[in-house]
Amino acid sequence: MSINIQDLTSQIHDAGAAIAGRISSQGKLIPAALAQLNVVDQVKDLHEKVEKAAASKSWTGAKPTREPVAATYPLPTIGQEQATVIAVDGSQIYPDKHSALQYYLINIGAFIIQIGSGKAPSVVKTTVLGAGESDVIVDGRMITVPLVNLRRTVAEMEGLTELSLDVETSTQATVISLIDGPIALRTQGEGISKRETDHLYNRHLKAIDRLAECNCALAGYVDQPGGSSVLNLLWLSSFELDEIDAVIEDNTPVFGGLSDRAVFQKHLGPGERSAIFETVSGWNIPYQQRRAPEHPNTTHSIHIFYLNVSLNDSPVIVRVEIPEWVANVPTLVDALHATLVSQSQYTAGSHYPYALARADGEAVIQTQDRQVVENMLTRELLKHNIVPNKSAKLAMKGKARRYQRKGKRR
Amino acid sequence: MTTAIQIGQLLQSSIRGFSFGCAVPKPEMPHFGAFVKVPILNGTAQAIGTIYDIVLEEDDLVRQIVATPETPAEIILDQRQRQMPIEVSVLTLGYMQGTTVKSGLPPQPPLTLDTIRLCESTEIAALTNDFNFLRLIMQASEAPTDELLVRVLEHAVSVQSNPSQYLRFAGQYLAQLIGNDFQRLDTILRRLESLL
Amino acid sequence: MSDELDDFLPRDADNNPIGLETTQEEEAARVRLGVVVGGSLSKGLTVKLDSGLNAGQTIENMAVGRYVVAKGLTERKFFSIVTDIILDNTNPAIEQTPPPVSSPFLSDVYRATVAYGRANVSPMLVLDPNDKEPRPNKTIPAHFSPVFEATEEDVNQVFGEEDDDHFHIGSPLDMEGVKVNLDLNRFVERSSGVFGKSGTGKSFITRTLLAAVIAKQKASCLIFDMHSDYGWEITNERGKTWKGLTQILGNNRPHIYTLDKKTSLARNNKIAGELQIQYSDIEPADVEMLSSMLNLSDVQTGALYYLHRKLGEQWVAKLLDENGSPEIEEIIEEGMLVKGTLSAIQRKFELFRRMDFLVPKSSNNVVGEIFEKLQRGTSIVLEFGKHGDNLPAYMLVANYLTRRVHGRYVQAKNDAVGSKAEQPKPLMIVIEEAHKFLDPEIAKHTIFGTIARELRKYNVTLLVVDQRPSGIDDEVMSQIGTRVTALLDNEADIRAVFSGVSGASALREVLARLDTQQQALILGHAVPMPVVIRTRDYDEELYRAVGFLNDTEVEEKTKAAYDDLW
Repeated sequence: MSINIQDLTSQIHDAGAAIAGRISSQGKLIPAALAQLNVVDQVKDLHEKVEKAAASKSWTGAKPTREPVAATYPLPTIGQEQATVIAVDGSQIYPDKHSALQYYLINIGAFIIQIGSGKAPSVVKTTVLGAGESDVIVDGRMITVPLVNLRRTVAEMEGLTELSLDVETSTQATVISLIDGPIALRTQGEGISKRETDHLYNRHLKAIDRLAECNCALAGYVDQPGGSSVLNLLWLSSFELDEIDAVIEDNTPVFGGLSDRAVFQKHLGPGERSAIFETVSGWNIPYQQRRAPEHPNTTHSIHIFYLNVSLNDSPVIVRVEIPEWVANVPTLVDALHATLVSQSQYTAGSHYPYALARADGEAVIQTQDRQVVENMLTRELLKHNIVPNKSAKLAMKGKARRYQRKGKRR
Repeated sequence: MTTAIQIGQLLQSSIRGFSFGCAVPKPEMPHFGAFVKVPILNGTAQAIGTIYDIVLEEDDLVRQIVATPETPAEIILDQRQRQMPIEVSVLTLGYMQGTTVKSGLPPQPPLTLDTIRLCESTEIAALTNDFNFLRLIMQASEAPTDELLVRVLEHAVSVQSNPSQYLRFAGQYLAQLIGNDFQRLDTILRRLESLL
Repeated sequence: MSDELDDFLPRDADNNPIGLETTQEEEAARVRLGVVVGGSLSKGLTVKLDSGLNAGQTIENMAVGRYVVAKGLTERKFFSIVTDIILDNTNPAIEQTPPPVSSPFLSDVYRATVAYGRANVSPMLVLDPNDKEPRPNKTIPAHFSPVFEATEEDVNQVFGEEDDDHFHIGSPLDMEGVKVNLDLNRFVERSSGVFGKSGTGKSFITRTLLAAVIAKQKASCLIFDMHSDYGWEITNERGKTWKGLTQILGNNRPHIYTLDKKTSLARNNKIAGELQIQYSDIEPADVEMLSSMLNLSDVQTGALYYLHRKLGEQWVAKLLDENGSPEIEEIIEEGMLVKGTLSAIQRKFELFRRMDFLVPKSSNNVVGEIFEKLQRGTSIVLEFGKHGDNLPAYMLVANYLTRRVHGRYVQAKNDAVGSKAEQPKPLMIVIEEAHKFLDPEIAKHTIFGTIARELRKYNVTLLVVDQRPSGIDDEVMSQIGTRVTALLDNEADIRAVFSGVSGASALREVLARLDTQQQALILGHAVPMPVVIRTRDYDEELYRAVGFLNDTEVEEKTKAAYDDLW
């Protein structure tokens, strides 16, 4: 073992104490947050306060919609019998600057299940290799990890769209198009050129356009969510309108760093969802600006609600992200709500929707898969009399290396 | 680059054996007791072995589904057709250089991620024309030796021109190996007899 | 695909199978039977039998008495004889759970491996490639020496070539092309025996042996022919006839004397003379040997000598005189003998009246005549005719004649030593029912016991023919140099035959399993090793081998001799 256990022991001891202290202090803040939630709908000027904060461009948070902020919605009894669920997940091999082989690989796995049909579900896998000069050299330098992530997210959405359109033509049932993780692309400060960003946003929005055209219930499923946008809203609501600017400028975490999930664990009963909120954030702007086809006066703006997918006394809170054109159609929201809860019942323990779990399994790239790809590439190069030169560093590292799935924000 | 008989990629190896991964279901899915080969010595030779274990790797999803009451029909169907990764373990019995097949352990293990293929019947015949492979099987503590032995002989005998004589000699060789454990010998021989 | 398990065995660097012995090319022609796995010089070797091509067949193809050759590491061949065959296994569990009859596969496999055959093998001789002659083995082959069936070549090497000193008396079992040759010089050098229960062909074997000894002039034979088996033609119950020694031996033919002229002549025998014994020639020692047969007590036997001394030469005549004699009255009156004792002796002597060859007075000197002929090399057959079934008569005559002939041999031998005169011609005395003469009770003080014990001191040996060797005194038996034994089934008789023979226990099984006809075990002085033979047919070919000429040939030969003479 290469780490210093003695050093580590004392540090872990300190860290443990700190974490315990934080949890304890956060626990004390949950009642405060819940109290604010109970009164927020009575707050005067709430709408003005949020508008003012949103206008500042530096505040992020949840913006109430037609639904009262504190409202809870029970599990709908309809809408799950005839749904078709298409779930998509992706993983990738990042380029390795130590390797003689410069490439990246994106693997998209999709799972399609027609609930209640009695038919066997199907699986679709798509693998894209980026090994050409234009693939790996972007803006004059080696492609970066964030860019590969972006390309993967776009590929996921495009894949989802293709499959959703195919299914939609063959059945009248509600189509629920699920993506693992958030819907939106987020590109702040990652050194990707505007040209490349524009290109990717364009493809991403186009894919969402097509889903909107066919009225598929597009949703991003965020397991174990860490955000605090609703708490930000509650925090904001507890101040007077003229204090808003000061609140926005103060960067300290609200409610002592508590997450929305901790609050909704206490607020949502089994199978219940929260109200739908619109996300106020810089990364949502491109989606807010994009009009949804076939849905008048509606955009792709990312909306969220929290959902307790557990039907027992141990709440499991997830965040569901949906575009505005889904949020505005109650039947789609109900179908989504019901389907996600029911899908989560088959995976006892994890409460992860079955369809997403399967898509994830299909997408994952195993250690040996990487070697297969490199063997194939090497062989191909050898055919052209090129001997790939493994750098010594990789040879050292390569021995027991594991390639984990994409590290998603949850 | 894949051919019809390629069945998987090597995961780990030693002189005595190796394991490889592949997915189910596959029409040519490897069978217990089947003969497989994998390149060694920079591809100048092939190690030959027999499959002694096939393990479906632990799968969280299945475990979770099992714990759920009233699993819908679609999900059950899905699990049946799912491509599950399996790990196949192989006991090395010999190796082949050119057309020469030698029984016994090879000079080097195969390298990881080399491709495993099923043996041709001529290769099986060449390897099993020398009963040394029976000794290697009987000595393999990691394998279910008695079951494996019967299955391997079933494969071996299928490429012989005189199966009954071949089995008789194999039985005699086994009797020399494990004659002191009569119960075991008798059980194996009765199984071999049923192959005739 | 190959037919041999060997071809499926792992190979070493030289492509030889590992785990089984390499079959050398030179051995390829031989039939391999197994491999030596244990044993000792005294108790013989243990050979694990090969399973054979058809598992188990080697066991069934084995036979007790068969010759095998263990090929040692040092190029020596250990010529051996199979003495027992055993079913064995490497794991006794198989005895508890044998494979079902319905499963030939299991049986086949086990018979080739866990269950196997074992043979006990007695090493007899060593054939060293550097020696012409086989030698007695003083060691045994190393572990795992392969064992093969002996080839005819091996057996010939052991038993030598047929010549004037070596006579072909039969063939080893299953080897009809091989001749077992008896060393005649050694055969007559010491006393010999022919044993076997009745009906096993003792007299044919004996006749063959005698024909050989006489034809090759190895010794003069004095044959006490109890049942007229030797001298002249013999006819069996089915009418088949065989020629007697006198008919086939040409110039060496024995002369026939008879005790029963009438019967001998009736058989068309060419007799040389009639043996009559005068009462006065009978000595107490001649009668003493009959004591058990006459049921004479020790006192009575002692009285014989007293009576002889008191009554003189005519003691027998006087004792037999129905009118009594004054000397006898005197003896009783003097109280030297109890009347009862004397009466008992007289009563028992009544037996002599029925022996009509005993005469009060005879003019001829047949004993001298016989001695002269024996000394000239002419053998004598003494036919008993009607007295053949009268054992006391047979014993009396045999004892009477032998004592006197032996006495003359002793004299002649002593003369030869003293004056450097000619050695007496070797003599072989043939007696049947030998156990009667060599009973432990009397063997110590009868002439036959003496002859047997003194070896060849006076150039006289015995050929005893007997069906009850257990009745023969052990000490005498141990002096029997060559023993030719047909089937014996009495355990005591078998033991007796092997007394004083090392490694004999191994041969017992062999002996007990001989066929009832024409098979014999020969062991001892005149053969290099014990050998079971199918005895040579007593037929025309044998006649010719010992010098028989048919009438035409006799004529031609006579003519040639006549021409030579003139």
